[in-house]
Amino acid sequence: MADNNKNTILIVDCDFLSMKLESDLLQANGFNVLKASCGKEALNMLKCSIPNLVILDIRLPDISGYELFNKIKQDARLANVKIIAVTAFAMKEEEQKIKSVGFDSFIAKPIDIKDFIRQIKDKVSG
Amino acid sequence: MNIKSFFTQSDKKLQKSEALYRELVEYANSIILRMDTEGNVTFFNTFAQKFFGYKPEEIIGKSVIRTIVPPTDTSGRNLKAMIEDLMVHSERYINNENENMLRGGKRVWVAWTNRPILDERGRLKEVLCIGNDITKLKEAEKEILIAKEAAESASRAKSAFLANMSHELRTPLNAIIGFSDSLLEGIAGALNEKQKEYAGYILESGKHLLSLINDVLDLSKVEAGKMELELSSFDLKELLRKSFSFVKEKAMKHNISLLDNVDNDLAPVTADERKIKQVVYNMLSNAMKFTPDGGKVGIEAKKINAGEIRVCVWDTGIGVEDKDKEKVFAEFEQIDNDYSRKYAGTGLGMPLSKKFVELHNGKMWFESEGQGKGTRFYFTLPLARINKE
Repeated sequence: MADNNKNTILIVDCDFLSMKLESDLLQANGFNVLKASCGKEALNMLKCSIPNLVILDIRLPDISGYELFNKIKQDARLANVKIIAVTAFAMKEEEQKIKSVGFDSFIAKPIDIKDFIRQIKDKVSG
Repeated sequence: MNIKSFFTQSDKKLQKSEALYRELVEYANSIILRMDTEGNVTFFNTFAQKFFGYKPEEIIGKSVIRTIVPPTDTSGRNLKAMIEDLMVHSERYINNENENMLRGGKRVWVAWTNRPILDERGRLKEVLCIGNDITKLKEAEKEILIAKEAAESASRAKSAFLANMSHELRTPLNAIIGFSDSLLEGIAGALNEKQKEYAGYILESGKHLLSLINDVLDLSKVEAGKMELELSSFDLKELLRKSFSFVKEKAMKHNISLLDNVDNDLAPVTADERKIKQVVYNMLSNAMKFTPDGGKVGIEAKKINAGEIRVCVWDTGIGVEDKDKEKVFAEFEQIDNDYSRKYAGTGLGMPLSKKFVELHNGKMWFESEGQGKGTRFYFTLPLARINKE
């Protein structure tokens, strides 16, 4: 069950192993983790819970990470939620696009686990 | 001279001069024709007759439309309207290329120069048209355009393929690198020595694979002419001195001495720092790879003339035999001997480094006196701002 004293992070990623890796790392570092494997599932979860931070993959089975980003940004209840892209689209063009639309951060897969945790902690506390 | 003989003589001169011009026009290897303001042919030279396949009696007095000019061309351009416009705005058609038609209906391309001929009152009377057959040129142009489009489409497909391939390879690598690193970090509990060792191998191999993917992508970007430099001014001296930290651990393990001989007066350079760092790292790891235990690896750098810095990474390693010298900068080539098999790399490090240096308008080369005598790799970097093309 969710512990209200902990920060909550929603991971949206359809790759089972990325989800497993990221959620295990976050839980080991004291975060609550919510998991969604597609955009629709993520939006349903966001109806009843407001996480501190959302980790978005760019390639999702239903809608793109960009579309999901826009939907979250349009929701006034979620105004303070930080959004980080964690994606295997690691080319510079993609990184520039992700940063230009307003994601709080960009992390390329494969992630460096120490850097990943450091960046998440930074964003949640900042 | 009496009047009569004067006229006879001047008549003869006139006849002679007319004959000269007639010959010139008739036998010229160009289409020469005239048409009136209605577009009806009033003159048609021999070359035009042969070219279009009309005898004078078949064409004189007839409109150019539907004889030598199709009402619309193959691409749908309205040529009837063009001829009408030519009569109004002849100045726009002084040099004009359009499709024409031979007697049998075959389409050709002709480059025309059109000259208006005015009457005494300055009104358009006729148009003098001189044309050259450019059908072959047009066909070649079309073929080049098709080839260009095919090449561009192939290049787009290649870029899309690479972006996808990169994504597909990085996804499993995320699990390989992430979970092995997690094991080593003790996230799943303490490991014994053997487990640590094995997890370390998985992590190292994963990282090696990642650098290979990055090199392949970089190389294809350079080849597609899409690699851009991010220029900034930085202290090359410091970059070079710090670069030993990449290989320090390995050097200690193999008892290899690292020697720094970087000139203290080295001025800052304007270059892509990340790429230069990658070049130096590639040179150093290459030197380490081919230097047996107890050897030496060094960096030298100095200004060699007013506008250039030369960097050298040298080693006391196995050297390069003459027969292998061409392979050093060839992609995916590795010099085949027991030593390189033992220390397999990506085979892309040096070719990519050379390309990075060349993007900076620098040069990269190496010297080796032969097997067992070590190798010296050099690159130069212009000090002046790099000219982007």
